[in-house]
Amino acid sequence: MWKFWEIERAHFKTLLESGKLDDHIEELYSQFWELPPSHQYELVKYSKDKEVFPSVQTFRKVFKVSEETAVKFFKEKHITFSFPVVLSNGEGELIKAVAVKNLKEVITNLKEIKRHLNPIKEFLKTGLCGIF
Amino acid sequence: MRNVEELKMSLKLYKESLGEERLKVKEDKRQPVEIGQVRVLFWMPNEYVLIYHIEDEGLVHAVPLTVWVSLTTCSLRLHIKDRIFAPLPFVVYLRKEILEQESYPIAVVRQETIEKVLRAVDRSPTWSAIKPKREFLKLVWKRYEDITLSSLFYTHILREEQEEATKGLVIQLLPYVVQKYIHQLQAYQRAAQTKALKGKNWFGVVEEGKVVIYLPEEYEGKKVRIKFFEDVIYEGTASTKVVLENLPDLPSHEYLEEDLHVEVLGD
Repeated sequence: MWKFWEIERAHFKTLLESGKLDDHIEELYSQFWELPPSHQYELVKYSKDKEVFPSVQTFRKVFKVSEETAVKFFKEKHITFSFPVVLSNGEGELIKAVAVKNLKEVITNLKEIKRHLNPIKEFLKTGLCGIF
Repeated sequence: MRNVEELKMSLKLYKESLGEERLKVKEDKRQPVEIGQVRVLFWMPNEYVLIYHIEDEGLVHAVPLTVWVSLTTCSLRLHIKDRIFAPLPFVVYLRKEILEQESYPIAVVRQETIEKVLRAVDRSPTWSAIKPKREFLKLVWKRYEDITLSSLFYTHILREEQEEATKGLVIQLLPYVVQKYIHQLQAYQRAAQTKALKGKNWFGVVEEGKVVIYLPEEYEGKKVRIKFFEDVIYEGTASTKVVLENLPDLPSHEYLEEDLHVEVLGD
């Protein structure tokens, strides 16, 4: 077992993109909530880009979603985008995000905004995933 | 239920009182944020929040309360300091420093009251079929929207910064050791190079002149022996992060995958 959350962000990205962590994808998702947000973003982005996923059971356990949502998350197309935000200290920051729609439920790594993604779910008439 | 005309009138009054002004509490009068506080935000008009959780990084979770009780969808009423408040059907997130700067505590409620309020928020719809209520909820949310999102993202970034890497165990690769294997190292050089490495029991990333090695969690604190080809370069207590410095100036360091060995000797 590795403490993947202790790996520096740039190193984590390099290791992921080289495919060296593919054998540990189950372990990586099992540690999802221990990972810093930047690692979570890189992991989900890599999974979608390279189609390297954990088992449906692991995914369901981590995000507490139905099997249907997990399977759809694996299959549906994704987009990556960035958007500017003004922080409470007045500085600006560009936030990167990966999104997947056509899910049954809402998946996000920012648990606090899950409630606020529900109006988007209602508007789109479909669940979605937003990892920041 | 109140007459819709009355609700319309209340909404009109609320709208008329809306202003851009946000006053700040004098620095020497600022009060720390604590769970259970009902704080008044010095906005135009005043808004109120009930603090129910404070994260370590300073993100405060709060339920907005309103004195425009007929316009919210929550039926719970709170009697605080001779005034009647009602919760709004959503929660907001605010940075601790902003709350200290722009608000002041007016009362402290008990844990049971906090739980009662949170239950009421959960049960209340965020949408109403009655137009003035619907519009009011939207207007109040608008007031908190920017500050909530920026507080969330600020905390998000703060967490990332806090992840600041520990330096780890630093090992210097001695030049004579490198010289000993230089022919083997040169033979390893390939056209395709990768910065990412994977040994038998480690992951590594090559940076300028060094490689950062990550060992499994169970190696932490154990006595290990690290060998470069056949030479022992370290024997002692392990850390999950090891930095091997003074790598030879070669385009590829993939030889390490086969020739950097980490052995556990014991506890």
